[in-house]
Amino acid sequence: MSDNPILKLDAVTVADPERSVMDLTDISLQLNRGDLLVVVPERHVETVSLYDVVSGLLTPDQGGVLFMGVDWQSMGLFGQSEARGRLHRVFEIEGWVSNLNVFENIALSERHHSARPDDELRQEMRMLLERVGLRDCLADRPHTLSRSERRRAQWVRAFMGAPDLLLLNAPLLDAAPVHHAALFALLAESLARGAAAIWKSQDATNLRDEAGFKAARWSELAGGRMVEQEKREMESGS
Amino acid sequence: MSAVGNIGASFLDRVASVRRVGAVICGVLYLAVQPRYWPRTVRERTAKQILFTGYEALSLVLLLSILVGVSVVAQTHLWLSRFGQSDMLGPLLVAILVREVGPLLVNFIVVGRSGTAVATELATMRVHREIDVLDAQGVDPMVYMVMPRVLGMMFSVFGLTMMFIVGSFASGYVFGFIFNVTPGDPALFAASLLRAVTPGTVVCLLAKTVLPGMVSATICCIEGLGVQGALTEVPQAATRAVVRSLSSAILISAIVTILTYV
Repeated sequence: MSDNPILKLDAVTVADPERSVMDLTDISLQLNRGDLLVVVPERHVETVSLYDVVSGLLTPDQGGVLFMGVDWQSMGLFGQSEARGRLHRVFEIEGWVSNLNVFENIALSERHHSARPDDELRQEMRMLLERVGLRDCLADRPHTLSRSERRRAQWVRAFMGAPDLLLLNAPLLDAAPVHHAALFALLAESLARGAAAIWKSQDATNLRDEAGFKAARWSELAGGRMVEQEKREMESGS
Repeated sequence: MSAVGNIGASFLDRVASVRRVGAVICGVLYLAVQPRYWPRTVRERTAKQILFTGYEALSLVLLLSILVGVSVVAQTHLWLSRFGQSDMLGPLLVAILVREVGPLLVNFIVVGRSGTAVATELATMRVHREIDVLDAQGVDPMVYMVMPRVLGMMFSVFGLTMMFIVGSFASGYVFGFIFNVTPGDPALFAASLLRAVTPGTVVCLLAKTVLPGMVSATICCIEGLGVQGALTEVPQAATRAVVRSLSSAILISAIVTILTYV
């Protein structure tokens, strides 16, 4: 296992008044194996840019982003695609390819980037579906599922195949509280295995109460700047 | 802007479009020759595209080939025999059906049937941000969405054209046989057709199937993926894709014909 941090953002700035996504200003952070960073955006705006920058989909105007110790810009197109296969995402809005069924959607990244047999993928998928309280819906199209079911199916996709980095965008949205424990358990297992995760949500209070995530770092994303909450509390206290 | 300025701007716009199509085709060919860009998801996509564009259009193409065979093969034989020029049957049928009508008709069918579907599907995916979902998972849309469609349509147009040619010759012969205007022994008929097939005919056939197939698919992909985000743009993109694909198919056919006879 590499000693490199899984993710390192070095003074990243994304500023484009033409773009509808939130700007990022001088953001530096490092995620090592087992780290969980909770990001609370200031208001409900489209905060796609942070995850797009982290995934190498959006090139910052200033600063650099290293995934597993390698700068996205130096990877080449094929290397970038391969690397993106190792970071799994829960999208805030939908995140499904409508002409693929649930199995094809969930397995897409694994089938594209690895040679794991379909039977093995199906077996892991069924196990995860059961854990998040979903019936066997692998042959269904995503739009036939309820919003809550689609959200939980996104959890299954995110945790399939032992990713190195989890990018969770409002992961509890639409999911009934009774299912939250399943997500927390899956996340805790992934972190224990050595993955890192960013949890971005306006309402992450549920996570704060979870005993398994006491070591999580909390940040506020306000005005494009990311301020770690302990620092902010200290600053406001002084 | 002046009239001349408008014409100039329109011309430059066309040149830019041609360059864009050329760049995408070069990109597809560059990716296609590298095995690492052929994971099972892309192989399956390509197979599905051939199934949809090629296999599922086969019945329509065969039906059309029968109708064309009846009207062209039998009539050509009838009129040539009346003028005592029956030995010209092979070269004339090859010139009409193999070099001109077959490839063009099949291109029209494929664009009308699959080109619209490709443009609409990609445009809808773009509007619903499904392309971003693919990208975020490391599934390059160029590799997963564009390459299979371009190659699938290219192979389908070629395969369907071959089926069309065989179907039209066979149906024309059978129709002639039924109505007693048969061009003689089937072996002799086949031999006269084969004798008329020169290397130039093969090059012409390949150029008129492979090139328009790739160009049409590329245009449909570009138009589909070029949608910016409004659902109302989807039908507009599909219409533009069909018109441009058909125009390019006719243009390529004409250019190849000219080059063949030069």
